[in-house]
Amino acid sequence: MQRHPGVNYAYCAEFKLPSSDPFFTLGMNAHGKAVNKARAHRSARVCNAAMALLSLGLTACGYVQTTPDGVGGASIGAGGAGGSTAQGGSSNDPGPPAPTTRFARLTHVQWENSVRDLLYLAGPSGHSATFPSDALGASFVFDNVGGSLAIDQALTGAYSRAAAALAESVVSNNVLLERVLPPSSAEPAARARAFIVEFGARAFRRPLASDEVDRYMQLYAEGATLDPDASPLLAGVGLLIDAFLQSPNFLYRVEMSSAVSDGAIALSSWEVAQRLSYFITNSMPDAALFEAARADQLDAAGVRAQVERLLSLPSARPALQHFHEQLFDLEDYSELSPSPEIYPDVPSEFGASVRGAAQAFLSDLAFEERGGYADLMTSTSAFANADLARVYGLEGTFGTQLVKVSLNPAERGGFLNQIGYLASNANSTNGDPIHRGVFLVKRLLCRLISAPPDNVVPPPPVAQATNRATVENHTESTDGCRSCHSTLINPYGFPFEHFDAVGAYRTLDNGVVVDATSTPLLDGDLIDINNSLELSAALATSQEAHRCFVTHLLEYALGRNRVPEDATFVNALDQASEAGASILDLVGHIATSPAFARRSAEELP
Amino acid sequence: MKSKLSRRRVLKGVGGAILGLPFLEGLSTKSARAQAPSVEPFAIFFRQANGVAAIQTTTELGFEPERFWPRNPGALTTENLEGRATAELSSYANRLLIVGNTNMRQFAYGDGHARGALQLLTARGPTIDGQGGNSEAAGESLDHRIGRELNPSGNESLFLYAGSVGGWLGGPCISYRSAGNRRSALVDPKSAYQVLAGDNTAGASQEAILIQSRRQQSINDLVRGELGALLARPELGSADRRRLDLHLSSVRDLEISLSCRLSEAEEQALDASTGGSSNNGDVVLATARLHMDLAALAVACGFTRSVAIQVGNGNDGNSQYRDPETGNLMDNFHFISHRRQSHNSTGSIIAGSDLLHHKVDVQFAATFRHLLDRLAAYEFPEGSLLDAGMAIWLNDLGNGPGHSNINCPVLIAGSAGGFLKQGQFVKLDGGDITKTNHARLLNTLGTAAGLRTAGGDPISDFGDPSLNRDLLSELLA
Repeated sequence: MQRHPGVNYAYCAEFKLPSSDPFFTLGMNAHGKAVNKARAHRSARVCNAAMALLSLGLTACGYVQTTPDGVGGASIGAGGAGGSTAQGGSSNDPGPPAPTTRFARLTHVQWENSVRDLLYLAGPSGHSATFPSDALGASFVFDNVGGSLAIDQALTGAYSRAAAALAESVVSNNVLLERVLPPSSAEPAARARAFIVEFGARAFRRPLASDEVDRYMQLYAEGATLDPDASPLLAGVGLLIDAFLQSPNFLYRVEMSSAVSDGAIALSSWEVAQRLSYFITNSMPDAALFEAARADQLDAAGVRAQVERLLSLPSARPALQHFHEQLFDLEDYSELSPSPEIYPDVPSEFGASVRGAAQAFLSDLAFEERGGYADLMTSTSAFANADLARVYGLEGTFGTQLVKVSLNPAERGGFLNQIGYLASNANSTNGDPIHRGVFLVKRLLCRLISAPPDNVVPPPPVAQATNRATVENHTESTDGCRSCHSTLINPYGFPFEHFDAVGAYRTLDNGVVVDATSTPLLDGDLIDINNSLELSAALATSQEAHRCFVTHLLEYALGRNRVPEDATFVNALDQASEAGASILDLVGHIATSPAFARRSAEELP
Repeated sequence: MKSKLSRRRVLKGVGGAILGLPFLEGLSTKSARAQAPSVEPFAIFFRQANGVAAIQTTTELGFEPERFWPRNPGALTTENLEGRATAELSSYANRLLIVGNTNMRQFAYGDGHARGALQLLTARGPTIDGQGGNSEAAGESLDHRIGRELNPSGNESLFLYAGSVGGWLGGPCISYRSAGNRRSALVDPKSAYQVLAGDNTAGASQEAILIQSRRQQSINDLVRGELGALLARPELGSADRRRLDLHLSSVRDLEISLSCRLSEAEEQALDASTGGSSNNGDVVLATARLHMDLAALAVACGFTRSVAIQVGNGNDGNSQYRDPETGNLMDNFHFISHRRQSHNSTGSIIAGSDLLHHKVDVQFAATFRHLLDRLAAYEFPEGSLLDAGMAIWLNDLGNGPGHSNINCPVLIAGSAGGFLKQGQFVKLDGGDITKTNHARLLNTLGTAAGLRTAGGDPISDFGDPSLNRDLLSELLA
């Protein structure tokens, strides 16, 4: 692998902005050559506005290699940083946070988890399967963009139906009922009031005000009137559970703190607790976290202790898996359907196996191996059953269960060299270097690539050529396509040409020796690489790649897309990641940051 | 223009009045609205992706003959439709208005499917140029506006989706509340029916329904109070306020929905349906037909005056429709429309894919006919539900390989109470393909559905202000 550092342009410097900002962004000049390291701009927003103008005026096809608002791009030099994760440590203080919603609606997964925990159910109720799917904006990577999650008529009805069914299931089951009801020694009304206070605090994730308790007591009394045949306690408690589950204070993660201090609003301990729990366990706070909030013990040390404890819970695993599922589009793996004519040995459940193996790898890497982003790019561990072992060329006896394996380090290393990424970015008959490149560039480097023209000229038929030659001929033979594909896409897809449509390793393609060499741009330098192993190794040490990964993790943690105000926070995370922080370390770094416990003094417009 | 149709007779006519109306009237004052003396105009939009098998010359297959459009402008005779996908609608020829040369703006979406699907009901460009599959439309969609301005009790229009969730443009993508504010769709018909009919009431006694209604009303009163308290907080920004307002307006009592019921047999059929997200074209179109049943019911019982039914994601790139001759599922529709085994322009050429595209068109036409059958089934001496409103079959694109914004198919069934021509194939602007007239079409359809200015005039304000938004007089009766 050879690096060519001499291709840099001070892109945004053309706008004569001061060079004090930590950002730099990648772009293209009029001739389609990559340019980078525009450290010199007042703010990312200004720079990107400038870049947008440049792209309109100078780029050949409107393709821009950049990041929205510059946040995900690599940064160099100062800004934020400090390795401390302690809340309140000034060196780790990323400054005032960006505006965000005060009413982040629970995602359907969070609703399911919260109901399970609130009612002490053994598992998910399954009611969320009847909820209308959320309208995910096409630019969203994650499902928890709270400011976009609305409650419309259809969802209101679905919540209502689920609440009624859950209430009925609890009051008709003594075991479930006794779990949520206070001790039975008190007379019914007193018991109901105690239920409202205790259950309500868990449902709302904060104590109820006295007038709220009174309103729910009034509702409790109505229960007996509405259903005179039932016992007053059961009728009332059933109605209360029904109502709590439809309350906006349950359905939204409400943040109503408003006192501004040092340019931001410090969240209450209850609000901090729910931020922590929904980030780390994707559910409501557990008893210990509630108790810490109740005792107002969520200072820096208290948060650190809770974060460490939450990360050790079993529920932290599916929560982090939910992040990885969406980041890497694992759901698509289930849809894999390679051509049965070319791959007759691939079974119908191939996609499910591939997805399961990816999930197992990511969970193992994070929780057992305590790996970081660099390990994600280079680990030779994987999971395989008999079907996947055949594709990997592994020797030994395998069954239907996925087991941990070691892959041939001469062929594979890291997530990108596993079957999932390779096969999901392939067509049914061959690897797809375009989609492999586009996914990598957009999702792992946080660069924006504009869409191709509406009516792309079809490639001429290329007989007796390799897959690479066909794509090269199609995308790099005309000016309109070449300027973008030859620099922004293909160099990141061609290194994977050693892998076919199902992710099997090959040295020959159509009888011709595979050419997986490439010269992609990373961190402002063009680097010569021979194959995807070298590309993965480069990504493992790339500041741009680390920065992108932590940016996505921060987006997931905060439940919103990145904005320029996140830059300092991203810088600190990036430095920690490059220094070897594990993924769990990064989660902890975010959760214990002062910014995570504050909200902006400004509201969303 | 209003048809004088009795709601009571509508419900009886379709055999779907499970619950006695006198009982419902006793339950709620709002249910009386379902018995209004006339049927107001309505619009049910049915969206297909990927263009149609129209005459064209493609790099992949060369000359492709016309297989969709009628042969000549003018009367929709059997001869005029013969051999075309639209012939599937011959039995409704005298109630059809087929609109040719509907041309969209080449907004800078950076992708033909985004341009077509997101502009389809909004007549708007993107919120941010050049985002391709990450695009969002920069305005409200017509289905939502009709619902917002005309629906009783503030019900939102229904947005129903058949196909796999996810994929290009994120799946459901044609309905917007406002710029960048995309609506979620109801995918499972059973869930959609619950929106109309309420729940937990099927087979229940009247007493049980009354208890449930009062119980929910008590909860709703409390929830409204809580939402009101939150909305009263001075800290809220406008974005949060809008979302809470939507929530507040969505808290409904059971009054209206109890009058919107399928027959018991139809409810059982719905329960037995697979519904939901699927790539199998058989399931996708079966789901679309169930959605159509519910759309007809929704307008019949006065729940809404507009419904949008979307089939397939942004490029319908997952659905595999069945070739009726071989009995096999084809490649996904996007591949078929591209004539290649690829979501881009690589991949092997699919032999005979123009004919396969035509076969998909025929299946969409037959599915659209199902909607017309349902609407026509609500019969009265004065006419049918179909005559009172409009069912509109739209396509994002003019054709597949070219992703053309020109001559995007529009087929309107029903005259909206005599507002629109019938039995005609009209080419807008005399066939002048340089005329951008899609926004004019949407303003015409909106007016036909009942939208008016404050002064009672036809609307001409829907869509991007830079577009011509005047009524299309050639479509008016």
